[in-house]
Amino acid sequence: MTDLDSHSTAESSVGAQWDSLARFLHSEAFADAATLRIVDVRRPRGGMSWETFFVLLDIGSPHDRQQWIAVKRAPGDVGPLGPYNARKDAIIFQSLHGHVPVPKFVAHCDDPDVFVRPFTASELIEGESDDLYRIERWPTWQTHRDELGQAIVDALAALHRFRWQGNSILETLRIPGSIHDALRPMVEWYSQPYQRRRDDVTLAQIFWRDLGVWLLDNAPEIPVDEMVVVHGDLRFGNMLWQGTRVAAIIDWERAMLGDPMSNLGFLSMPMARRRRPELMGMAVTFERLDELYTAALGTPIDRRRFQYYMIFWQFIEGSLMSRPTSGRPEGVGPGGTDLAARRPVVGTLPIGPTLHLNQTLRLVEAFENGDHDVL
Amino acid sequence: MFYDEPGGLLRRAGELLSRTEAPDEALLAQLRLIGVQLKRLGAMWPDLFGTLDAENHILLAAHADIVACVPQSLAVQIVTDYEQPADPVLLNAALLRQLNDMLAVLHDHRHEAWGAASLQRLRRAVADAAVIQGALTDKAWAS
Repeated sequence: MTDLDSHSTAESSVGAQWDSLARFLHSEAFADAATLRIVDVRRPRGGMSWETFFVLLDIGSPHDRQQWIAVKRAPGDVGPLGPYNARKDAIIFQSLHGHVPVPKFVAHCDDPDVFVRPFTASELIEGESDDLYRIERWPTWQTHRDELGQAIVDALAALHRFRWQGNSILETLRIPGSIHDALRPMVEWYSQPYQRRRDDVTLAQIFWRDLGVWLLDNAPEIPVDEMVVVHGDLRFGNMLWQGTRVAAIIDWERAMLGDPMSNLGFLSMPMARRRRPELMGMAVTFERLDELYTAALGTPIDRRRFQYYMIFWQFIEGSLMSRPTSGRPEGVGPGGTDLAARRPVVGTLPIGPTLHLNQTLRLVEAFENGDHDVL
Repeated sequence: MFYDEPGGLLRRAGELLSRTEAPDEALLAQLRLIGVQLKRLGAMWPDLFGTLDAENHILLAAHADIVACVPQSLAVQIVTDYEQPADPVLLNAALLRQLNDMLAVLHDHRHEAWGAASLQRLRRAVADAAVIQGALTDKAWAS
């Protein structure tokens, strides 16, 4: 981050876990250095699944310098975005480096004795990052939005040109037999909470449950060799910006091999542009996106598949947000905190799921009618 | 469930507002959230009951149409509950539960003519109900 103070809070760097981490980094990443000490630790604000630490290393001779790194540790419990795989990040960063903007890999460890849980360490990229809720207040977005759109497409084009065939990235990404085969594990995993018979069902939950089946029935096939690395969470908040340049794309936990339109579909799904529906990924219009994509890769956006993947990612995100909160005892709010406790939670009206349902429904109906211009 | 959530929210908001302790940052954040939620609920309120009735009408019709389509051999599997409560909120919950139960069977038989037609009917009902429910929630977003 350009300004660590405004993006993070200080954390103690004293204790056994930090000593152990320092020893590990010394032996694995800076073995030639006479000494290595952790001199500062900060926690970035925000984030919902992984624990991230910004760690300042003091690296002794012959390096004689200080360097910030980002250490990303798997959470203690397997949350809705799990299961977590630190090794996957490590392999992806190493494989994509030099081809696609990703942070430079530093070290990776699966042994919980080293730093409590598995983690990856990468260089800390200097850059700005804003999520979709704050993007309209970002001065660079206000004044250089088209350039941001162009930079996103350039980064995407680099990802789509990346040849995974025969690459070490296959140590962590499976080659699917088909698109159906590629999507099925995700669809089944996100549908799973809806399969159990329950007394309290919402309209949105019926919809997501059914849409899982619809998605697999309608998966548009492409030859395996035309598949690309799909990021799986391609949003503004996962891009680090240096001016109008994408310095790094982070958070590759959901990466897989799939249709290039899948990356565009995630970027452009209606949930990612609620406040400005005409702007794909809150960056550029569809026409401009198509123009930029065609110029970068020589082929236009396939509208049918693009529409399908907007539906697919709406399903992934929407089904996650509409999950049943089973077993909630009386007096416990949706956030799971008892009102009698010190930190009460009033909860919110369930209007988001209805919005997501309607956004998605519109696309499903258009897809079935062959009207692939509907965005 | 969509239509009984406002009651729970009002109750929790009332409990929070009746606290007498000095508010800390977390409590203040909850109080601000209550303001937003009450504003949204107020915007939805005039149409809340009419929407519930309209949604129940759509779901009831779909339920009846699907039951009429089902082969006799699967009737026991697909009609899991004949109870249709008079209370509209309970009726809505019962219809959604029954349609959700039907969905699993319809998925298994979606490549048969009756299954495809029934699934299409269920999807149409969900879509129609979603549109009217969406009109209600749009008012909440806009408030």
